[in-house]
Amino acid sequence: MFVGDETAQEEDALHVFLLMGKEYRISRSIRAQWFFQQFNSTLPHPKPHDELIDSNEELEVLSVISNNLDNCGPYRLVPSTHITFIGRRYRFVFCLDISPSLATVDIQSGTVITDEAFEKFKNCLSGLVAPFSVPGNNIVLFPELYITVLAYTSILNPEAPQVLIQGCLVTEQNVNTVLELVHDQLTELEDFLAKTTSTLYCDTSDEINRTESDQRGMSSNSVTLMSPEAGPISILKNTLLALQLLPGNASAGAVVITDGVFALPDASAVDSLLAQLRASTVCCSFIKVGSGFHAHCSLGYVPHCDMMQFIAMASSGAYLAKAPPVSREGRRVDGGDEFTMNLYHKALLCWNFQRDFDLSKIDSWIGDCLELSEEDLAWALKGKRSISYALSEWEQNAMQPSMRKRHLEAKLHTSITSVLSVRLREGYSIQDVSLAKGGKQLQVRLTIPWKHNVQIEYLAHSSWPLCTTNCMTHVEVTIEAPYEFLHDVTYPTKQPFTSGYRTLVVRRFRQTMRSLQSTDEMLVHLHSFSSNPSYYTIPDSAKKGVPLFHLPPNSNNPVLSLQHGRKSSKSQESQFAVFWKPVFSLDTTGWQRWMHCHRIGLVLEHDVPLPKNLHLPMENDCSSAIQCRMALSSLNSLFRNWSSFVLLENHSYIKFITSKNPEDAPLSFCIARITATRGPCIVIKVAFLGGTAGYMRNEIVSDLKTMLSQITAPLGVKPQKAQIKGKISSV
Amino acid sequence: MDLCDPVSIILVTAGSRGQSLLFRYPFIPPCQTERREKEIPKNRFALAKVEENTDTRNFSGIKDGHLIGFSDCTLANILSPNSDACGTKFELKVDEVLFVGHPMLAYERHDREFKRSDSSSRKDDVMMKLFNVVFVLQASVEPSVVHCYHDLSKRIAIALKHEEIRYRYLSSEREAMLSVHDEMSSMPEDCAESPFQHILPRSKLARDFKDVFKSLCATGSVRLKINGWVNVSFCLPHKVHNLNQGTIHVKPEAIHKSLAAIRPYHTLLFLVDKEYLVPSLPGDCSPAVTRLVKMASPLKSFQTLSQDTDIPLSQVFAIAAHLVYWGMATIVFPLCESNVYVVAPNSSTSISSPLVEEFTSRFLRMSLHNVLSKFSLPAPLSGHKDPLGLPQQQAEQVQMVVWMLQRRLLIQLHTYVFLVPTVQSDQWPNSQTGGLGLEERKVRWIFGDSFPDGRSSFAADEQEAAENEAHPELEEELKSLTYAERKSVLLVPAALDPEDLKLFTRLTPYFRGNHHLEEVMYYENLTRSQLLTLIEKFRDVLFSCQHEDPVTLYFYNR
Repeated sequence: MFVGDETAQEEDALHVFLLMGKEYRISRSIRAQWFFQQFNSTLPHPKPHDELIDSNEELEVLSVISNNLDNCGPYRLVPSTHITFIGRRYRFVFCLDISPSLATVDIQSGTVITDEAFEKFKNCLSGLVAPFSVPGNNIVLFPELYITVLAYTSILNPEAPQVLIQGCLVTEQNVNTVLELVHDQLTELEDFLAKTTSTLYCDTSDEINRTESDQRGMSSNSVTLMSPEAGPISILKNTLLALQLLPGNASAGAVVITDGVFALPDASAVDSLLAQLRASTVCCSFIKVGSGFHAHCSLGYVPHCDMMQFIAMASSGAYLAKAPPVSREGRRVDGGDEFTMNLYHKALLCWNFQRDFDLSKIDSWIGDCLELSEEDLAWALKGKRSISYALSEWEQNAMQPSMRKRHLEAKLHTSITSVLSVRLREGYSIQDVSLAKGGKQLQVRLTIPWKHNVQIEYLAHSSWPLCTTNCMTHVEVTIEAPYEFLHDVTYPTKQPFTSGYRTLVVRRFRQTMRSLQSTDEMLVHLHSFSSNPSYYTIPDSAKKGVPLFHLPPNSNNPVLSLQHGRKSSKSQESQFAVFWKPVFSLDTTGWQRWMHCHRIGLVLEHDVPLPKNLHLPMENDCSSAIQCRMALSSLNSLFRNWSSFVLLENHSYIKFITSKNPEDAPLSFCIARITATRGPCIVIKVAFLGGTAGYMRNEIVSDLKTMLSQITAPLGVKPQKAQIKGKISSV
Repeated sequence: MDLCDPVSIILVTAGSRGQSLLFRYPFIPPCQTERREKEIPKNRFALAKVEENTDTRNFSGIKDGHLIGFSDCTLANILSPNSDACGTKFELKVDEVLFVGHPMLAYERHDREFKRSDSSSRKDDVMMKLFNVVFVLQASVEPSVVHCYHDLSKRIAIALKHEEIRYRYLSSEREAMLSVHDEMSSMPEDCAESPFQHILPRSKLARDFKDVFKSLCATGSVRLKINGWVNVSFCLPHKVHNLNQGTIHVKPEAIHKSLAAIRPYHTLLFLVDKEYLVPSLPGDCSPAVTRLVKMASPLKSFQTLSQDTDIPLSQVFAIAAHLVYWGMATIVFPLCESNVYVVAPNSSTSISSPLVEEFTSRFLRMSLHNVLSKFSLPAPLSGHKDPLGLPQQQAEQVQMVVWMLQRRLLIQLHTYVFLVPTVQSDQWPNSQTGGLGLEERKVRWIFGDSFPDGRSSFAADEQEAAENEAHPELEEELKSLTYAERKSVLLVPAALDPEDLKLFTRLTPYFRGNHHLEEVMYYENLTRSQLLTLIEKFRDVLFSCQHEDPVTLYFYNR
């Protein structure tokens, strides 16, 4: 810790704004690491304008604010300091819901909701593109915004366009053109949908029409109505796909503009959806159209605000019940170059892992309810009936008092920072950080919303200051939930619940708890890499290029390739395999919990010559497959040379990252896995053990990419053999 | 005819061709007036009748549920306001007739920043300036009904405007209607057929208006798709909550009040069959609604329902409130054996009541009056159970109770507990409260601590020093009680048991007669027997009485 004369005048920082680097995405664990590194130390002064803008640092301090406005530093980072991260590059996918449920009159706003959806999109986008500066520093920021606009409708028709705009860089100059384009396409789509629904409507109501259309054949068969339960899932699936097609080195955000007339099928769907969102580190925000719940809303169309709020909260996104227009005139009044952050900057561009602060992005249900038109209010007053009172009472009744129950406790042989980064990757957010026991113990409280009103609290503490060797972290898991939920999940029920939904909730909860434990075990396992020499000493056979494992034919269970005559379980290989077998068996979808993941897409050159009659089916009605064996084998040999050893041929490769002193244990390792080993399209996933420095990762990945672009298939005639066409995205 | 029913629905537009009444429903079938005119020559001595006829000609107002005396031209004139008045409520009263509407400008100059591509090239021949969908009501109708009709008119207007901008829907319908009017006016005079009759088959909008009118009169709820696309959905609470042929009339204010007071231990009782309700919902309605409707049962509380359906409680409340507003359901306490039911005081017990027949057709060989008579004295449901009865008989009994609750023939009584001190306040050693009459004290017991003149609290403060030192740990909890109450509680023998006293002090806030036993059980997580044992132990200071839950009471029009 820094001790000096200045400490006397040091002020506690209230709020720190950080600008993230541009070259590659700054992962959440790096952000957390920064926080713990700077913890209790003096913050540097923000750099001057040009230096800051051109800086290549991962994180730059943009501004520091304290309670005392007169003082201008130095500031100290304390546990209560709010830290807000702002990126230089963002990718957003806007998904406008235009299902028929939006073609409803909303009496409170006096519009048809479909019109409102575009209005709110317009407000939001024009707000986002406006330049802004953070409080405490008047540098004007113009983050790059790449957007894709999708339209979602529950009427599936192959003719309906669903992608309105793809991969567009929006600026203040072109925003109106973009909006106009979206508007034109939206109205076109609405006309189209209206036509489709009215024909559907006629088909069912008129007997004559129905028979007629039957004779006409396929016209209405291509139209399928999707259940509203599938809504959020397919919206977010499309959104995630669209996000993957945008620049990878940008912070990702999904903004769904919807009326909330949908639901998720069950607890497992919620879980997998959230897992997907968190895995791809997407902040999912909702802009609600239509008024909040009121008893006289259209029959059957009850918006599910709780669910939108929950998803937004769980993926650290925002929930905006109102999306007011941002007035440009208002900004000018403040004085020439004043660019204060507007609602949309705060809600969609800022990210912070401190929960309480993050919650400010969620408009409350209560506020949503009180959204009454003047006319309604006037009527209420005339009728001497206080709506606001009634609603607050309602709120109170729906509130369920939460109880706390400790679920499990454990000691983990790893550093607190790695535990925290795993949890942060899983979507936990930091509730508070404190130094206990007279500054000897660091205590971090993390929380994650698991279900509406159910929250998992994860308390980790370890000794302070953090030591680098042989660290130990104590963790405690507490559940905060209403009595009824705790009762359901705690006591094994004698008779099963009659409701499937309820059973599923309990089952999912137990699974979550189990996976929490196994994730921690895996973490300890992975981080024990450099502590045990037998884990990083490569056996001779593997050094020669023999894969450590092989897959026996017709089996998915890898078998350790042993040299003949050395079958004892004490052999070097088996010791080595103790560590690597679990690494091998990890599923790539879960990698990002422990590791930094990068993704490289490839298209392989096909074998020459191509089979004859390629486009004609053979006698048995099968088309001949295109093989890429030559390209694949050269890819393999590249990886064999690149890696330290081969885990499984054509599948997984390990490369150690050595420290500067070759005598020391390797710092870390990275794993490359080739997925989809057959077709011409191949994805290589490269993952680094958590805590590997960003520049190192970036260097290795870009080296690999250069190498990949240079290889050719051995029998190649043309120079561009194993052509790399993919784009590289890091997660 | 119900006072809430509309008399007529009228569509008026104003534009380049002046104001015109495009459509009205119901139009007076010309055959009726014809017949009346034809009658006159038949009865040549009926002079009086001729006078009556002239009377009707001059009469303008509502007769036999028809709007009479206003020519289409007059209506068109009076119902198309100045463009300044557009977008606001339109209310016009002519004698006994009330016109309610929401006039709208068809196009506004700076309507949108992003105009449709075709709107700029729109030809001037359309020139429809404004339109107004007007409901004709009887002037004596309640203001809240007027508000509801304005709401419906506004909804339709918003939808029409949207479709007009999107598709020029209203313009094309207008042209269709105007062409019929033109055709009819070019016909010879003696052809007295109404043009509106001819509009119906040629205009979808006219048919929609006819459906709106008919469903308003029949059920009070409207579900309409303007141009097959925009949903307009409305319910007239005054009509929807009319039960038992109008004997029970629930006011919308009461509905709102009861909705504000629902608790997690209440549940939904459906007034319509689930088999009817689920298909009547729109196909793309909130899935949570259908899920809840499928899972709901009058035996499960909202709390259980929330767990069973995996829908948050607040959302369950929202859906319940929604269904209650639409007259699909009502709020009750879940059925269980300890529930006490009694015949509702205002239920119709007449022998000729149509309910009698309905009941017999639903439950074979059962008489409604026979069953109702069993409920003339309040008793728990388990008391009605025949100990030798078969399970299916019991199930049928539950069905009967549900049936009677749906028709509001039964009310449920809850037990409320009051804390009544045995120690008189004038036994206080140094107080001058002798003047306090017995009556005033009673008042105070019932209204809790809020004593009119604040004298008692002052007196109690003086007593702080003389606080019973035997139970210092309970001081905090018992602070909400007055001195006399504290004293009397501690005099009860059961107070010697610290466990009992602890529970009692925890529950004292509920002993002010505002919370029934079931509520105490829910909020304090107690079983009925635990609670009843405690009340029995402290019976010296507790006084219990039975009455209805105010929440469910709202549905009984009392």
